[in-house]
Amino acid sequence: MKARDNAPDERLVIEAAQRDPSRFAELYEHNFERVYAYIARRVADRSTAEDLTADVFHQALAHLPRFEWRGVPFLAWLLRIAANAIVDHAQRTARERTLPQADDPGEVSREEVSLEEVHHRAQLFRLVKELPADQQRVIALRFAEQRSISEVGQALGRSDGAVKQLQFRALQNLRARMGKIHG
Amino acid sequence: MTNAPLPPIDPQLTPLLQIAADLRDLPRADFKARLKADLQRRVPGAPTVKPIPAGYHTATPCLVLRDPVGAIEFYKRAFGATELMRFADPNGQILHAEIAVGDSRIAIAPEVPEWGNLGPQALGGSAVPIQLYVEDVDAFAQRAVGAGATVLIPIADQFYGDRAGRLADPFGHIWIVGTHKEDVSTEEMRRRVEAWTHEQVAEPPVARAYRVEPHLPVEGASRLIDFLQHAFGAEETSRHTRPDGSVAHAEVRIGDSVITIGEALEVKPAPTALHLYVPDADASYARALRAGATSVQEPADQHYGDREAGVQDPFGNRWYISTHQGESYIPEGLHSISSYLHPHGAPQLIDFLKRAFGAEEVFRAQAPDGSVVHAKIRLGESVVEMGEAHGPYQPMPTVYHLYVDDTDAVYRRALAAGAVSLSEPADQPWGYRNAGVRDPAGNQWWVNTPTKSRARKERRAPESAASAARTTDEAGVNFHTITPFLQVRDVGETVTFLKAAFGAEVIVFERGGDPPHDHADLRIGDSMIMMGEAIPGYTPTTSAFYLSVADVDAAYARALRAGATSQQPPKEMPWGHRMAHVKDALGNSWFIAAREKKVD
Repeated sequence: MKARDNAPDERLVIEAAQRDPSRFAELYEHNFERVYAYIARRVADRSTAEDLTADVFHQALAHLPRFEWRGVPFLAWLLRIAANAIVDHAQRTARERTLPQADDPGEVSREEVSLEEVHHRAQLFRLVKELPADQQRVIALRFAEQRSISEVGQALGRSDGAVKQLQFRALQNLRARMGKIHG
Repeated sequence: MTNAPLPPIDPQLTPLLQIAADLRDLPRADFKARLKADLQRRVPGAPTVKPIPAGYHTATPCLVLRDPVGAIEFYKRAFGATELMRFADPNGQILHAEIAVGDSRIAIAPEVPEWGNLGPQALGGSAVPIQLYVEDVDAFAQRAVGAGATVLIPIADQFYGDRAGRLADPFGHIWIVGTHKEDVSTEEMRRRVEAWTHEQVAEPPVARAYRVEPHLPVEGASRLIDFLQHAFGAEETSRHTRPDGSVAHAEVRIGDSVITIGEALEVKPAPTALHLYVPDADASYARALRAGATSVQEPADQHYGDREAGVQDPFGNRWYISTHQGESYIPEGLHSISSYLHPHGAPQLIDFLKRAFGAEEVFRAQAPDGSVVHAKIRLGESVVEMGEAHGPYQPMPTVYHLYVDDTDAVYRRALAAGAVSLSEPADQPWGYRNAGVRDPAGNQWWVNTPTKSRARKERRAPESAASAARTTDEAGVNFHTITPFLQVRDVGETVTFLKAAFGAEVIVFERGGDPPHDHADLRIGDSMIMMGEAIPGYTPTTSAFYLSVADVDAAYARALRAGATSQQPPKEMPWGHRMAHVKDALGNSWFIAAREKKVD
């Protein structure tokens, strides 16, 4: 597993962050996409994914001094916080909606997303930032902002055909780059 | 069912669809950065970083400049700005700088077209004026103008409670400067806005151009005039010479058009291109060659129906000689002479002429690449033609006299459209309010409006020599084709004398021009006499006048009482008139004669 390959480095970064909390930024940069990918896979909408991701990192920052290095990747610790946050959130919304409670934590853990999938998606999200600027804009607008082809066309001042072309090239590009990484 | 199998999905597309599915969970672009900033603020013990740095407000203007270094120096001198920071590349070219004017920060950036950073010259004007509140706007504006700023709208009390005006800096940015004088309630403001709007509506329409005349500064002006007479049958309609005999300003008429010519003394000769319509292009072409021109293009029929030739005169001016094949040899709407420009960037120049002078594009032919092959731009009754510079047809920046109905307004508009000021509006001794600007293509435009007294005179005495008939205006003042014009040391003293001696009536007495000087129009009996203070360059003139009166003896006595000296008391002349002769303090002779012959 990739995270374990980096284990000695990661340990140094964690210990540095425990001494100097401003170093937490490095841990954040390293893990953001994975935490987000994990949460997004398990909640229904984007703003919930953002709220819970923020929640996870705030908790991680607050509890960092208590983290003990036992050879378990830092990501595992973050995803445990994330899993708890998802369950809490599910219970809260269920109560708010006064619907029958779906509060069996075991139920949630069975939906567990594989670490491999988390890594895969995090990798994809990072690769988007390496695309040429116009392709990046199209992907961000189409997928992150969920805009239609014609809305994207208006925003970029391009024809629908041109937007489709850019999107197709961006996807091909991402496919090629993912292929290179995963062999 | 079996006879309609689903088309197989292109195996190439399957992985792309998977990627698209995964991307549906892509985080929004700014979320990661927002959360990071939020976390950093919460790091215990971390120095608190203010999201809005100290010394900044939410908005900070960023001025894009072609010469940031020069501009910063100017803003220091003109506005008392202080430099807060400057980042420059190894060549000293500014990448980013910030200055403070009063309590406000202004960023300075260089022109970088790739980023959309375009300065006023590239935009053809400033897109965003900056508004400054200062303690004493009059002192502030005076300092700025002293440092090289141009007044677009003079400082004055404004209805909204500020004393304010508009300045343009030499780099093309516009500053609205003001001092708040009066708190105006919303209610009162509404009333004033309404009143102001009515005023604006009542104002005459925007200033317009009504004629443009090319001006040719040349070395050897009188020889050029000779050439034009021989080559094109030009007629010299006026000539003003300098004391050394050189031509200061001459007007030459060819067909229905006028161009002006002057000896290039303080200015460089500026050869130009002119489009001339003649009844017979072949004949004019041959005549021009005989008069000393060289051939640029032999007469030939053009596909659009004109017969055209081209010559260059000995002074470097190009003449495109055309005969239109139609009802008239001049196409409808054109004149005998139109100026022809070959600028780099014809569309930009056309835009400038529209914005600055209210020009109207009447024709444009474009090449497949979008460049302007030929365009006709109407400025009032005149037309300026142009085509994008190419091959031997390179820019020949031209000097124009432009006649408008409001020099000041047109001057301001030209600056706002990206022109550079050559001379601010000022009244000139020759009766015009005049200003000069240079357009972005390098052409000079001298903008003229007749001063009030001249406008009055022109109404009374049309310039055309054909209308020799005298005209009478509403005040009953008669101007004849010829009116004596005295250059005197002291207009006031002369006026006082003429009033006392001959009962002269002052029609106009005004001071203006550059340098400021007095001017007066007087009426004596049924005749007009004009006089102006002899400013440097003009020698005081003395003259002799023949004054017809009913009673010679009474007039003679009155003149002496007013300070005249007697040259000869009244006596009967052999031809039957009674006459006297006096001299005024300036040395002018006045022959005072009886209107009627003495009948014996």
